[in-house]
Amino acid sequence: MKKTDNPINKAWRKLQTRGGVLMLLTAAILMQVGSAVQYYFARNGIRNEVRQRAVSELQVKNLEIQKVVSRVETAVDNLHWALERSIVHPDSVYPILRRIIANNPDMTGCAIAFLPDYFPSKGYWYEPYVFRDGESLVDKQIGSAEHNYLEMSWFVDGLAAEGGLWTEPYIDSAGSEGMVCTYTIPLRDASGRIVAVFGSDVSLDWLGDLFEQKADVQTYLFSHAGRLMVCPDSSMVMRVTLEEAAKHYNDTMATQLKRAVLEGRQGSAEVKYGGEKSYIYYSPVGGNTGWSMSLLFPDKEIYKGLHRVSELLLLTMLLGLLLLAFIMWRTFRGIRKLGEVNAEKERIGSELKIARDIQQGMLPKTFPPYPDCDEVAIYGSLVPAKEVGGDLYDFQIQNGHLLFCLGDVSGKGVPASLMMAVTRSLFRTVCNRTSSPEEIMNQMNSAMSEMNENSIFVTLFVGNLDLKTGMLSYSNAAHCPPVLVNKTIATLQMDSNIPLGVMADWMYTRQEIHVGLDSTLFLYTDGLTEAENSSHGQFGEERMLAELEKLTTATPRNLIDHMSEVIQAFESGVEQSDDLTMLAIRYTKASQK
Amino acid sequence: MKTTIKEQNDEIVVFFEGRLDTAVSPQTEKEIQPVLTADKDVVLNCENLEYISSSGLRIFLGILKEAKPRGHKVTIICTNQNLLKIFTVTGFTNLFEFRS
Repeated sequence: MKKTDNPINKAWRKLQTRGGVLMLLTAAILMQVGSAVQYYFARNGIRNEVRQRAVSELQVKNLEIQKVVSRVETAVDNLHWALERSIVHPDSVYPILRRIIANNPDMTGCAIAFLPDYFPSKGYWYEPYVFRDGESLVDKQIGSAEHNYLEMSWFVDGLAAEGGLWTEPYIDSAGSEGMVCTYTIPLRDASGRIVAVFGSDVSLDWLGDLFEQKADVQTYLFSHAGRLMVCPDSSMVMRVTLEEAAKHYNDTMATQLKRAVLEGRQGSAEVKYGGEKSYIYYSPVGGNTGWSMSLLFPDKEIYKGLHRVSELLLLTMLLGLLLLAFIMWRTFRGIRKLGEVNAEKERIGSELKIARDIQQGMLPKTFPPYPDCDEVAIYGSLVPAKEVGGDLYDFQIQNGHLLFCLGDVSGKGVPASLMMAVTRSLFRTVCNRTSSPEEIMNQMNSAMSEMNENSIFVTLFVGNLDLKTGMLSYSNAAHCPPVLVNKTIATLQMDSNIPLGVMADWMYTRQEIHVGLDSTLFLYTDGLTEAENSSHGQFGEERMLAELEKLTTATPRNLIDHMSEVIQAFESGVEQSDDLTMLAIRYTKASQK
Repeated sequence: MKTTIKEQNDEIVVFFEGRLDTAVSPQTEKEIQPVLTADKDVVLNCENLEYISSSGLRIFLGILKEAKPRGHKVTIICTNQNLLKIFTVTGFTNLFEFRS
């Protein structure tokens, strides 16, 4: 069959394509929504985790710093009274300063700076100082015109303070070059007047170890004035303040933090840092020091894992969609093929139906066939097992003789039906030339043997009934013997002859029998005797003969109708396996012509 | 339906068992293909054959058609009276050698 692309096919295909696209689209949207929801919740989860991590980090660091700060504050506050007693004599301060340093590893040195000319013997400036030099302690008076502590902020602020005060951190240019912070406390004389400021230097080098920088979180520590004490870029430590950073960088982080740090607030914010979205968490740390700490999480870094998972998910989804598309394509192709197969089946079916009609048309189908002829009554029936079959029968009256035949092509279906058509045509043709049954048989046989490539053979009974005398001459090509029904039932005697189409030069024999008036000749194919019931039992010859016994007086039509009913009842529900053909001829009156 | 092919004493023997009807004959036709090409006398043993339809007879004729022009005999061994009747009516008794 030519695969036609008719409009219906096209439309169907278009519909399938549209359906497929819709399904794919739906699947894609569902997957997208699913992954969006997943993304949303995962993002929230990460966000919460970051928040908790920030809070706990801030707390931990605060405690660490607080520990050192408290130690120093406690030590100084506890010795406060001893210091105030020691300042009666200018040189009596050294031992107590030594003791303080020796007992407080956090401190690198400590000093007492007196008001100008407090001890006239010591001059205008007097600042006894004890500091560590390796394992030993060194005493030194450092107040001088060059080291004019009177103008230094720690002294000025310390003097003005009510109690302990932490100075801004600074770089110890005189000593270790490290970051140092000083805790000051004012000292009073017996009369309660503030006469000096005690200051203990605390090295802040340990801060560097305390704060580690990571890819996904940056840690900052700011002094009270907003100076950077810890930050990822070590070159900026102690050199840059938030004020300067806010001016210098176009980032919101410095601006946000500046305010928060100066006001000592705690909180979080979303900021721009280095052009990237980031989250900051900040909190004051270290108690009285006024320091603030800030953690910065770059958006890109904290969602890195999530983004990787999302990308993987997207890739998986794409693969899934591709797979789905492939499966759908296969399915649709399968459906289309099935449709084609069905169409093909339908076409063959309709062709077979036409073939069946043609074949049925080749059989005599008007009964009675000769309304004006009262010498014979004839009735025939052919029920193919499939749409078309290989059984045939035919008859014609010729010069007062009834020529008839009934046969069976070996095999079934289309090949048999073609052979059947050939056989029927041959019979008609040969009948016009001769009316002798054996001669009809010989001529048909030789024609059929010549063209028989597939060993398809035909069993055929040919009879010639002289309507005047009732003499029946017949020749039989291996067909099952007809039955003569009158008062008794008799099977016709049969010579052994081979089927038509086997051997071209076979000489068929002729036999004769006299048919009495009101006798019926019953011809059939093996579809009758070999009809099977559900338990594979065959109808058989005996059952047939027994039925015929009941039908000795029946008209051909009644006989065949009865037999058909009996067969149907016998087969009850089992599919008819072979073509079933019957022909009954009743000799009713001797012709006078 | 069971078909067995054996070679015995320069003959090729086909044993048929069961019912050789229209339903099984295409399968049987395939199975006896080696018999068609074997350049030997053929024996069709039908001792255990219960029934043969016209399709089965056609297979027998096919074998005969191949063997005869090459000068080989095709013999049918048959003891079953019903089968023998079929072979007689169809004239097979005139075409094939028969042995019981």
